[in-house]
Amino acid sequence: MRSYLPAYDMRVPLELDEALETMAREPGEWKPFAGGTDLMVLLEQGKLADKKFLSVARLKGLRGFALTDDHVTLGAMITYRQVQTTAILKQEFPLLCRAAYETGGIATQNRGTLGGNIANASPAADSPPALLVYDAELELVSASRTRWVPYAGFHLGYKRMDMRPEEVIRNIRLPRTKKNWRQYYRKVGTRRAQAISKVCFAGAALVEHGEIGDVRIALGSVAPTVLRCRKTEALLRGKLTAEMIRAAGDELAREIQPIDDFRSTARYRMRVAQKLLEEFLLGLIAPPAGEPA
Amino acid sequence: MPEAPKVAVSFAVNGEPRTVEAYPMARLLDILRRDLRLTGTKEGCGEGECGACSVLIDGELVNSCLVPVAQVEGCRITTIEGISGETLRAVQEAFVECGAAQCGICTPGMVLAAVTLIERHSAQPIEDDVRNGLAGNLCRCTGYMRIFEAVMQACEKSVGAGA
Amino acid sequence: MVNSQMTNYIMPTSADLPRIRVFFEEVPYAHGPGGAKGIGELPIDGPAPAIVNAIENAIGVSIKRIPVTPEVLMEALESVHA
Repeated sequence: MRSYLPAYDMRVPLELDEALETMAREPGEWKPFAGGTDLMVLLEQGKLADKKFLSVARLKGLRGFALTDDHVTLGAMITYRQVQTTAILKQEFPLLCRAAYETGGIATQNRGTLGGNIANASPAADSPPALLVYDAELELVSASRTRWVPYAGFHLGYKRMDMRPEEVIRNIRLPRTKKNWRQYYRKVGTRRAQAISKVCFAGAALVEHGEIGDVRIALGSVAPTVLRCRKTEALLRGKLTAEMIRAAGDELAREIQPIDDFRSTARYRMRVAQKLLEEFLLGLIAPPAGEPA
Repeated sequence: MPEAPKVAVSFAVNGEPRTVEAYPMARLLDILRRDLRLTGTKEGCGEGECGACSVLIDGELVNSCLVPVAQVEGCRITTIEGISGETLRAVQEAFVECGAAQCGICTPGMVLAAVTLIERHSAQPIEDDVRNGLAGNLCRCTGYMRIFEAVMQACEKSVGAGA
Repeated sequence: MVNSQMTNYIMPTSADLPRIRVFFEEVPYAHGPGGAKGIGELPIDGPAPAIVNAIENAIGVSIKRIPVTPEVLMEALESVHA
């Protein structure tokens, strides 16, 4: 334990309003603390810069769930384990369930939350590419106001978010528009479990009469933030040809910015990302399988 | 530097109510080992990667090195010392018969993961289920093969019988 | 220390290991007590060269470093096709 524990404070508010009022009174002083699977690692390493935390993991106000004909709304404190056991997510949002399954191990999945994962803003996070593909929206709440933002615009740069110091992510809303889309998720990590990804790929396509009507492609670990690849998406319409697949691969290489780091190399990430795109697209030509690859 | 005071945190450990005075971000792992003298739970990495520190909080497997004690107010915690029942007995016997422990540091976490895996399955798990269920518990000594054997053997004896 | 964190010390999880079958070839050692010899240290030396030799045999490219990560393997395979 490399940190000086007396320097760290944590309060456990009983209600969301109490937490929001504390954060509003002293903006930037108190940080929300969810499952702790990222922050406690920093604490152990002596690298946790923030010192005052409000435990939000069990606040009822952040554990909501709502289902309408058009949307599923998940409380931000939903754990990865809960994602995997929620029926509507298994039926209509399999990429999110797959991402949750691939995150850490069982013990991590029992504590880690979607809201915490989003707010931690790692470019290598596993669930965010799926959330981007599903056109997720976030509800940000403070003591004085509530606003909804498209998740696609939330990450502004490496570890910079469209979130004010007194705000907390309350809900993640998923429009129920992709249930008939072909869906694909693949994480390439340093090993088969308990791994941070080298490349993470989420894709979905609306295929009707053998033609692509619409498509979503999002990647992790290849840019300072998780990335929605709109330029690559724009090339994928109509009948899928070998030329289109090649052009999409070239465009992807221009859209992503992989780097050399401890886990992998830029060249390897680039090649793998292009191969995953190819695998996704070739799967659209083949007859649909029961589950995403 | 301003210092946070110690706080009183009350929770149940292996069925017994306990209260500790601790800094709020002290790790549950340290509270269990140092304050409560329950040393069955081990520190393998302090990063949530190895599973040697596994405990159950309200029945769920978690890495106690990543849990600040302030968050377990009112919770039911079960450590390796507190597991009991038919499933545990089957797992322990199988571990002994199959030679599934060498240095033993991963063993408390492995046993906890095995017990929760078996209790989660209503039918006999296949080896892949066992591999995935134990993927959060690293072992440097055994190469896992005998651990799989032991868990599969314990499953045969106790599947569907878990509490 | 290059890999001082478990998150970077990528050892296999139970999901990664292939099945390992162990066979003992018992050849008594003349200088050991009761013919015994050490079993703890020597097995560390053999596996890496054996695996690298197998890879070289499979792809026809000489590999001179370990670990043979996917990145290293990719470079080696591409040099074959170049």
